[in-house]
Amino acid sequence: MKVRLGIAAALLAMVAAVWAAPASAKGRDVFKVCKHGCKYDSVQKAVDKVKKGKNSIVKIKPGTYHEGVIFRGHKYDDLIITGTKSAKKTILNGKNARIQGQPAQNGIDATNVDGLKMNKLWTKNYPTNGLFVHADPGDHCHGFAMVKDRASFNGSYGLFAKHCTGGKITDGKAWGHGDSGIYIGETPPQKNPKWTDISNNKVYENVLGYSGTNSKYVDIHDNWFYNNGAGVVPNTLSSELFQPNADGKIRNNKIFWNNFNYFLPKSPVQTVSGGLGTINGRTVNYPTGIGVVLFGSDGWLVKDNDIFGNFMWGGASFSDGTDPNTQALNIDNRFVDNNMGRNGTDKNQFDFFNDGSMGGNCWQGNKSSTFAMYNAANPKSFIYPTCPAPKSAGTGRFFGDSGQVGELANYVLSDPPCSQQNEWVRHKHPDFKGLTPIDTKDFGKCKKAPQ
Amino acid sequence: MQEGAPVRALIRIGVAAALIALAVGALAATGAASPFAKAKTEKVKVLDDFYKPDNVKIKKNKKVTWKWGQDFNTHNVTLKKGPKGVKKSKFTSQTSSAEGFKFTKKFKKPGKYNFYCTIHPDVMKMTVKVKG
Repeated sequence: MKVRLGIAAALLAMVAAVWAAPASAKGRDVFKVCKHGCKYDSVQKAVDKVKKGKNSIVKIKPGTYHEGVIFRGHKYDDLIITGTKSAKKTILNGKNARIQGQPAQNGIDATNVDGLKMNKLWTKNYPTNGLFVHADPGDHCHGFAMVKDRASFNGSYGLFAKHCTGGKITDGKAWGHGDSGIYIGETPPQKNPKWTDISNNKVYENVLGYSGTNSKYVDIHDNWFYNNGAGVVPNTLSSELFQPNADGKIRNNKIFWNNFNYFLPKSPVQTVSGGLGTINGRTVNYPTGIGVVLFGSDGWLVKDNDIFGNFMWGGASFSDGTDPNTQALNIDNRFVDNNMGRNGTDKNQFDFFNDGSMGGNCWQGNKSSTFAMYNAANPKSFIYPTCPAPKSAGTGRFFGDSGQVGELANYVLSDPPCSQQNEWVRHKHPDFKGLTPIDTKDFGKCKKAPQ
Repeated sequence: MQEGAPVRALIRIGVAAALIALAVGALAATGAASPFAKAKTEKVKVLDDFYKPDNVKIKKNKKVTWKWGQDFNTHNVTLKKGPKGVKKSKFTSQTSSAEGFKFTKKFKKPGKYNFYCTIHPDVMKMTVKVKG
């Protein structure tokens, strides 16, 4: 009897052990998450049970999860978090989501994790960001991946990596963000750079499509950036580490109809920016109606893109003309072989704007190119030289041609900011893949705010 | 008899006051909120890109609340260095850009706490000094 009881107890113990252990797939422990019937009913609960990221995969079944997920540290290196179906069906929703009694600020917030993969997830309605991977100063987040994800209507950024090296954001969608749909920021300088791949994404109806403060080694290709305030905006700011933004590529993208006047009163998206600073007490706002903005960029290649239907400029480049000590300098950027204005059927007001600051910038082989000249003190060959740029072109300093800088200042200082649209040249766009141009939507009238 | 009544009343009032004082003392000792003496919480604004004030002095067991102001950058409050035995993770906020978001911490251990924003580490730093 005792023997039989002993055997029964041992069997029970074995069953219990198997039940308690996560299932295994391809050498990884599987942590299944679903609303009902799985071991974990929240992603955070599953992540909290991960002992070693490289041995683990968190699989999320279709459903809407009102939670914010947060984890940090290298024990999570190489963790995979994935929807089992498409992002359309696997939703992390920030509405009423809480972390430790506080409103959850981000969909997934991972700090100091290398090789993290987040796939087939839709993060929406978080006050701050959708998917967010970053590293503390002195730490790292090498080689992250965000594949087939969606992000919508998060307060600041959709798919967001900061202080990381390498990595990729591919086959995703991002829309409705108060700053940018996709963001790569604060890339540490590297001797043998690991590039970040941003490809095959559709990014629309954001304040900015791509933004990258002090980003480097970013290859942005084969994406669509459309209906944003501005499409692709690498930029340099002194408030963040590793100035300037440098050594990137923007190639083979479709960058069009970036005429989202989100400053209008009925805009579904509000900018989270209070402005980029002030000049004589007037606020400097983000510019709108532009395809590519290289702000304080060094060594970017803009090549083989289709850039059309942007009501201000197709591609613009300039330094921070307000600060003689700035590292936001317009140097060695090349706009080459782009197809501007869709063969004349959907033009940009001007294909290119350059402030004429610094040097090494050049324009070559672009189809149907028009160059903005605003009471410029220097000739076109000085402001828009062909490649390679002669040393005589450009002012060689942070402040560009006075006429060009004056126009840029007028534009970004427009008051109210929605009145930037007064400088646009509008036209009706021919159809493109059945999409609706954002400039055909009614977001109310541009009125000066009462003093 | 009538002459002694005011004395007895005074004694009763004295006893009641002593009991109230004891109760308040007990509440304070357990850390529970006292209805008579609400603990003052120091407030710090999280702004673009600085904390205001950036130097706070408090007594042990007091709280500090950080409140995010109108800004477009994402910020956090992260303990860089604190007294021995204090867990950094217990003093780390979420990263947020949402105006009005709050992060409150009670400081039980005296010493110097150095905080920073990991997103803006060069410019966003502050200190909380806790006296015993």
